Amino acid sequence: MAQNRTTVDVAQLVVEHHQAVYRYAYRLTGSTQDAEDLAQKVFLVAQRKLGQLRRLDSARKWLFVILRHCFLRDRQRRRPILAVDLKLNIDSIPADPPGEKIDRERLQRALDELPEAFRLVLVMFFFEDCSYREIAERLDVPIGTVMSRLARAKGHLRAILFEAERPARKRRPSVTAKRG
Amino acid sequence: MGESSIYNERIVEALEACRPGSNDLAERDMAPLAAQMAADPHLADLYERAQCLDSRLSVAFHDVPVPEGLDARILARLAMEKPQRPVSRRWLLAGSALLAVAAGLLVAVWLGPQSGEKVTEQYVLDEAIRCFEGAATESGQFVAEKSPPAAYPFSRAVVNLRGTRWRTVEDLLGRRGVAYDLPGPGDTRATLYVLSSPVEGLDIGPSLRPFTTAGCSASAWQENGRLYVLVVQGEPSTYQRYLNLPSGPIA
Repeated sequence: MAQNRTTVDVAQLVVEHHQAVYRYAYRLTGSTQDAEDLAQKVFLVAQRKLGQLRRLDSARKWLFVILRHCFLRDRQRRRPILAVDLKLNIDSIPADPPGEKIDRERLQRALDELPEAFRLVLVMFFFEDCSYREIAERLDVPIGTVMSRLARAKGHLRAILFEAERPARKRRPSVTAKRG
Repeated sequence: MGESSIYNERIVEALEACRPGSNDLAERDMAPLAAQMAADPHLADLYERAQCLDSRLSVAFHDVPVPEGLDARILARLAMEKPQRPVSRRWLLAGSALLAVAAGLLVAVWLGPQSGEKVTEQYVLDEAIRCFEGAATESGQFVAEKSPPAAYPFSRAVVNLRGTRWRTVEDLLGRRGVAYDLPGPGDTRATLYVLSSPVEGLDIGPSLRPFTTAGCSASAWQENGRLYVLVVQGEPSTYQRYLNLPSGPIA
């Protein structure tokens, strides 16, 4: 009986949240195949740990926590990534808001160029609407580190999105802070 | 002249950390930004433009087409997972005890001096910077007065300065080690961490182009089967002065 209830509950979670989970996974991985694999993994873990979900109205947040853990654990099995050259860049904030819709593919290209640590804080900020303080608590990193990564990642994002079309970069530049 | 060069780094980072439509600006960390905005209409305008753009970006982040039939595929995959058979409490306790013993043995093996852990360079640097930020660097003993443990020697790649102190570190990356606190010009702080086992994939010497964040520059490397992390408060140029380079170390 309890088994049936669990199955129904997981199915309910899939129906209600699979789109949000997939979109989050896609922004982190940048690949439809990886995003689908990650989404499947999230719901498999959710099924096993369903007893940990206390409140149904916090299910989406809970699934996002599982998603981040799965993403980070997967990345940690790979070789360390090289740091990239990201600077503060508020000059890239356009004087007028862009008229047309923001290009979905170009946004993903900008995200793909970022190191995972920077991409994660950016997706938590824009996708999950997390504050800098919440990001610091959830990732267990200092607030100053979150602010620094956020500012540099946003500068990079705007540079790709709003500067003139340019060929895709192969190089990953290294992280250097520009001090005021 | 670009706006980046007008404002202090901390002000720019604070401006970038405020979510559109939130009360983030009222947070105590944001007080310097709020004060400067009140006195500088140009900065206030920049803040409004950033907020406007960020709300557009938030929408764009959710603009991802979901593949057809994804929910059905996930449900099919979940159905393939066989339900667990109920296990009696007695067997569960016995199994737990065995697992605990096995886990203890495994940890002992993993923490052995020759093991290489599967953690990323980024993780190592984050942990070392966090340790650095929370450390009391005046608490150690001068190297000249008492020798540090031979198992955690100073790196040949770092300038060995007079006035260097050492102290033990109880829990960095889950391990014990030694931190050498290096003297610097003015209030500059720098610490070299030495841990017994290396991390896979690291370089064999410190990088000339360190990772920088939160006002710190840092790099990690392996040397003679040990993990070394150098964290310096300041820019890469300050960090480079602590390296043992022919061009001239710190004065």
